[in-house]
Formats: sequence, structure tokens, C-alpha cells
Amino acid sequence: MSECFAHFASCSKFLHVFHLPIYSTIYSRIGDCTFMANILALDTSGESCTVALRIESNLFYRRSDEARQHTKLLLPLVDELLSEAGVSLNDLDAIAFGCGPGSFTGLRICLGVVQGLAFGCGCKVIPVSTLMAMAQGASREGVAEVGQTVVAALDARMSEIYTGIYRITDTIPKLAAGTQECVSPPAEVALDDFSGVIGVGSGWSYSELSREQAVTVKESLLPDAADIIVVAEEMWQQGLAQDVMSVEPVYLRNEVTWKKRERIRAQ
Amino acid sequence: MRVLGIETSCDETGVAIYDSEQGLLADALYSQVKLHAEYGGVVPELASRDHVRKLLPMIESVLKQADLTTGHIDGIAYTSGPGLIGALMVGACFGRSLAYAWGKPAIGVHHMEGHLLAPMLEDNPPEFPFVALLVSGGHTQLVQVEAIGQYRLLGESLDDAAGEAFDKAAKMLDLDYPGGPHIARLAESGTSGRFTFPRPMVDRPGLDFSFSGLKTFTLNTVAAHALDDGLPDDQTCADIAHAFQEAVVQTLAIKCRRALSETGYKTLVIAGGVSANIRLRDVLVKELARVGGSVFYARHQFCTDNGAMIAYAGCQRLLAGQQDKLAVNVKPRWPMDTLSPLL
Repeated sequence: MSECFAHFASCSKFLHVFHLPIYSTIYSRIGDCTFMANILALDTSGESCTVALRIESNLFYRRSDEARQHTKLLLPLVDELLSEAGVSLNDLDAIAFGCGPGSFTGLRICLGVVQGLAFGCGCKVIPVSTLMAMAQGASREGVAEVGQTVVAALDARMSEIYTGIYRITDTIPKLAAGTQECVSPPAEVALDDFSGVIGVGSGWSYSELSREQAVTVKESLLPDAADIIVVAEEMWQQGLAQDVMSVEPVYLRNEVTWKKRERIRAQ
Repeated sequence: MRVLGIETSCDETGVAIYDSEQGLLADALYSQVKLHAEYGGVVPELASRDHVRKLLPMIESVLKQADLTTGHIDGIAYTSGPGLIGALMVGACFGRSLAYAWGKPAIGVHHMEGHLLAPMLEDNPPEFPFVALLVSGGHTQLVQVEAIGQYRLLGESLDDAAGEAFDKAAKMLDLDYPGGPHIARLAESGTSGRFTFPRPMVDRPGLDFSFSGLKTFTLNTVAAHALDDGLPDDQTCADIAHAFQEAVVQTLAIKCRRALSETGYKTLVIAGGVSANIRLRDVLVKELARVGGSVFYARHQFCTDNGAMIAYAGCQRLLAGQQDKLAVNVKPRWPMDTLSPLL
């Protein structure tokens, strides 16, 4: 581990490198299941570019906070992680990625790379909601405990936010009953049915998002491949990996043009 | 060498496989024209979203067309600029990553170099050196071409590209996007000589173009003859389309002649979407024949954006040993004369 830090310390002041033994409670739950999937997870849905790789019981991780450099950073980071782990793409069972919501361009950079890698090496893909990953992050950081409700909110620009209301469970977060991820003005996010929620994400910077029900708010908690990989491992166990041909980004906002042209004369 | 080419710089998804020994093995194109038509122009976000959807099925389709498996591809070429940044990123990130997964070299190709070399895919390709007129919705340039990668910009449009002027004139006449083919079709029934539109910048030296004045002239002519609904009668619309096309074609022809005379070259290559215009081809062929020159252009489907030209251009560069690193670098603006020559 110290070698790993020394080697990459000179790469970039923005680059964070971790090589951690796995900590998740999920593996104890799996019990007798000796097969653990080798999964690569990527996320470029926001300003950071994060990559995590799970090979047997080891977790390898890279993060760069250099803005607007995702196309230049993502593939070299993947290559570094694979080399460090001493594996190739062909050793992977699946590639997981933050499928959205988030920056439209960021989502497409990530999926473009995932499509190329997964089609090229013939492995499955696991799309993971960025909002669910944030709820998982709240659990990992100890901000939220099992049974608590996390309201993950991301700034969607144009005075709107993306929100997902998740309940922390003993495996991965689950959408609160009767809710779905959506994009809306912050004032329209209905939290009346919930109490003692944990707020995470940049969407909480809007003062219109009611904090009355929130016991804790952590705006700096954002989507991260380290959380995506934990969710993806559980999804793999549940048989939720997909063929790469069938995945698309989840934009949530689909109204991207407004002015339609009016004809002068009927054709 | 067998190269997979990927083009996603604007509103067309193009994928093709070119073999340096056997020529073009497969070619697939998906045009988003219908998607953008109701907005009167390309909506970048919609274009990017559609590229993501179409790329993989098209890759599978060309591999099947050529009866190849993934192991038979020796390299990947993708358009890395100029163009819409979001659209470029889709093809470039995908292409670079696929090459990495296959353990093959990859190269980012200049979109206009692709166009310029598209006539090389034909049975009777031009020989270097030549003058190239690159004329599309985004570009109007005259380039002196000594060899692949050795380009000197002779002149370019100071404002609108010729294809853009066609689109805007079409909109004024209530025609669909993209305007070029619609104007050309309407111009066929136009009366020659009823209107005479200006030939911009032909009375001064140099090889630059300007089409914004012509656009204003068209707008004023339409307004002067407009009926209650804001449009002239059908015949007048056709006459305006005819006069407009004639002005663009003659302006381009005058500058092409001038460029050949300045360089002393005898060969002209026309490329890009507007090079599909039949009237432009006819005028240039006739005019160059008079001075002992010849005109080369690609078949209609390779005048507009396509994957074949990217596969061809990428193949030449990969054969010369050039290749890109893992970092994907897309360039929405990318002057052609900064390209490296083949050594």
C-alpha cells in the first residue's frame, strides 16, 4: 500500500489513490458463496472522475478532481488500476458505472468508455443510479444508519434538482415505497411523509429544499465509484447485470428543446 | 491493415471498415436528419443522445456485413474534431476504449481531412498535389494539398459556411432542413435570369468567401415579393432558389479557378455535403475542362458525413505508425494546417 501511494503521489495533486481491503458487510451476508465477482466501476457524472476495481478481496481506487478533463483521465486511470491489480479486462465479470442522473456529457463519456470496454472484452455491465450510490455513500461514511431515510439530491441546473429518496437497509439502499427518482424545482420535493431524513448532495445547496425534516445535511457527498462498486456487487449477486447493448444513460430530464418550428404553409 | 472508422461529429452516425489491401469492406450510416428537421437545425444534445443509442448496433452490423469477428480488426479511427464537442466525445470515448479492450492502436481523425480524402475511396482517385474545396454546413475552405497531412489554407469563409447559407435560405423559403437538397430541387423549376443575386467578394483579390450578405439579399428579395402569409408565390420561390444557388455556385467556381491558377495545380477535389450539389459539380467540370483541369469528388453517400472516410484517413495514419495515447482529446476547433504530415 505504501508503494502504491509513493508511486502515484507524483502523478497529480488532484489524484487520490487507495488500495483497501474490502470492508463491506455484504460479504459476510453472502456467507457460503465463495465466488465474488471481479468488477470495475466508473463514474464521471459530476466534477470528479472516480474509478474502483474489485479483484477478489482487494479494492483498488483512483479519484481525480480535475474539472472538465474526464475524457483525458478516465481510460488512463482504468489502465493504471488494472496494471496495479495485475489483471486484464478479460478477468472482469462486469463493468459498473454511474448511469445517472448527472451531467449529460459526463454520463455519456462514462457510458462511451463502458460500451467500448464491455463490447471489447465481452463482459456484462451494471448501471447504478448515482443517487442510490450517494445513499450508499451516506451509509459508508456513517452519516446514515440502517432504517434511516436518505434524500440524495443533485443540482440539475436551471433551478431544478434531481432527487431520490432511499431507505438504508442491511444490503444496498432501496427507493422509499411509492417514490421514484425525479427532476423538479427544489420547492416541489415532498418530504412531508418522512422525518429525520439525512440529506446528501449538491441539491441541498438550494434553500427552497425544505430542511425541516432533515436531521443532517452533507452537501459535499457526491456520486463515487467506491460506492457504485458496492451497489454493483449486490446487483451482480441478484443477477441484475445486463448486456451492454441494452443500457442507456438515465437523464431524467428529457425536455432539452423547447422551440419547435411552425410551418408557414401546409405541405 | 483493416481499420474500423467511427464518425459522430454532428448529426450522422457513421461506421465503416476499410482494408488497405481490399478497400471498403462495410459501411453503415444513420442520419438523424428527421430528428432535427422539426427544429430547423441540429440540436446538439439530441444529436449526442442519439449517437450513444446507435453506435453499438452499427458496429455489430458492419462486422456482420464484412463477415468479420472482432479479432480481425487491426486498428480503430474515430473523428476527434472539429465538430460538436458532445457528439465528438461519444464516438471518441467509445472508439478509444474499444481499441484499448481489443489491444489495437487507435487514432483520432480530423473530420475535414476525412472529407478531403473521401474521393480516394473511388475507383479513379485523384493524385497529389491538388486544390481541395471543402464545402459543407460547417466549412467553406480552399486548401492546397501537397500530400496527406501537408495542407495550406488558401482561403475560407469569413462568416457563414456555404451549406449554412443554403440552410438559412431554405428556411426563408419555408423549406425543410437540411436546405441544400431542397433548394437544389426547387431551383430546377426556377426561371433563369429573373433575379440576379450578388457574387460576394469576387471583385477583390484573395480566396476568402462571405455568404452573410447573400443571405440578407435573399431575405430582402423574399420580403419584397411576399404575399399575405409572408411567402412569395410558388414560382417566385423557385426563381429565388435558382438565383441563390447560382450565386453560391458561381462564387465557389470563380474562387476555385483562382486557387488553381495561384498554385499552378490542374486538379481540384471537392468534398463535404455541398459537393453533392449537381449544379456545382457540372459548373466546375465544364469550367475546368476549358483550362485542361479535372475535378474529382466522392460518390453522393461519401460527400456527406460518413464512417468510410474516417476509416480511410485513419488507416493511412496508422499505417504510417501514428497513434493516440489513452487520453481522449476532442477538438471542437482544429485548424487543418496544424495536422502532422505522414513520414
